[in-house]
Amino acid sequence: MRRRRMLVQLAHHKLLFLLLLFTFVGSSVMAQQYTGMTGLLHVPSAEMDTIENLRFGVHLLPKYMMPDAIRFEGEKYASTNWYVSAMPLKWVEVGYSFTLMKFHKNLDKNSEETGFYSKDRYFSLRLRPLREGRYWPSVVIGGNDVIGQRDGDSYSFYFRNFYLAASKHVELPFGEVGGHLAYRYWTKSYNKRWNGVVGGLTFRPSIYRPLRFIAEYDGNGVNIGADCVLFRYVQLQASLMKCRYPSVGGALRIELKGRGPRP
Amino acid sequence: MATVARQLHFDGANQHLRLSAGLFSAQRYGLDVSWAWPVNEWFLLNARLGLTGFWVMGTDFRGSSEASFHTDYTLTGTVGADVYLRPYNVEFRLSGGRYIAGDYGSQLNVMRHFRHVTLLAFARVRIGELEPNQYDKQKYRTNGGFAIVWMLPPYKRSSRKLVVRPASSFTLSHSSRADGLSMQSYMTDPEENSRERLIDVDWGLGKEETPAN
Repeated sequence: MRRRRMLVQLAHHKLLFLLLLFTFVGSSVMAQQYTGMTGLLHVPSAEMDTIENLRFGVHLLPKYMMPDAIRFEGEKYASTNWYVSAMPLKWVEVGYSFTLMKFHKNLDKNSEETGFYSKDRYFSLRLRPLREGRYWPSVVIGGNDVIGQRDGDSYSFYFRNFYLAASKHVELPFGEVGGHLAYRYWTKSYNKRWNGVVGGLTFRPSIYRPLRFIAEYDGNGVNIGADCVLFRYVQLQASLMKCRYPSVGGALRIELKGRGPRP
Repeated sequence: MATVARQLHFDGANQHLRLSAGLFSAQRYGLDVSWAWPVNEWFLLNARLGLTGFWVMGTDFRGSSEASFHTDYTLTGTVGADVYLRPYNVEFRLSGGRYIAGDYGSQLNVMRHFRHVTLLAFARVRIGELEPNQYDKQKYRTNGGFAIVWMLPPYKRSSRKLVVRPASSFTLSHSSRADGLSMQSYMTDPEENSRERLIDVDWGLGKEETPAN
């Protein structure tokens, strides 16, 4: 009976994911990781957007994506990540994110009222020293949670990680296939399951360029998903983490037009 | 904020001044002098000097009001150098000096200008003795953050003597350290923002608004 209930719940999650996936229409732009930075789903890539832009977004983080140290009364929980990210130049991307955290109201352990009364804030940074060429991949060096409020404090840097990523795309008759490889190092031991070599594949079908399918290995499991841009300004992403836990996110994308020469 | 200001431009020597007096932001009142010297098309020197005191004004629903102007004046001042890389519309602003709380520090702004938006990242370092942070009682020597400055329409400047208009800019900013009293300064103009220069100087970005024809 319990197993049957779990199977029904899993079917509902997959149906929700498929529904979100097939409502997408839009233009061909790069996806946003849950941190607001360009990437795949939970794996970084060396892609950069085609134009300088600003993004405001939110992403649902299932329990699987939350660091083990973030618990409330001993239990892990799902949360949301809110971000502002920008690409001021074509080779640099920066982002500010905060993840909502459960606490007692006013941080008073005696209070019976609980909710998302706190947050963990962090900055992310990506630099692209090498742009993709005909025969070589693009390379990006980046990190999440690179600086914080409480240096050296064990209650900080929950999402801190650094990576070196490379991406290469190949145009085929039926679409564009992208290969992405990265080496990632998470500084906290409770995140070490995501350490090491990670990577993924992306596919943009020729018949519908705005849509991008993603399959990746994040060090602890295989994730699948897709993303798209609606009406050039709204960016959506849906995924199944470890092919089991749904995650969705959306962002408002504002292209920044260059300033012309002064008269 | 209620101020009077006068700009002086000595075009022969390429020196520019702005004199301000009145009720400034950050609960300061007094006098302020700003100076700018565009050395060449990519390099500019600037300085600012102010003599200000604390003021506060309040009123309640019962009709009583109170105003207080403290006379323990503080001398504040900064000197700075700006570099504008025209092909990329990237600007660097380095400044340092003495601030409202009597503390000393230096700040570097790196800005990327777009048509109506500026993305700004800043880094600060405090010099000398540190005061504890008012929120967590820690002492922080460094700080950093970002700001997004949006210029709001209308972008045409009216030629009328009296102009009533909404704010010309909106700034979204974030500081990695919550320490509002550290390296605090005041504004002498409600239109003052991190993108435009306080003094009308034909250098770098220039003013957002273009004169109406």
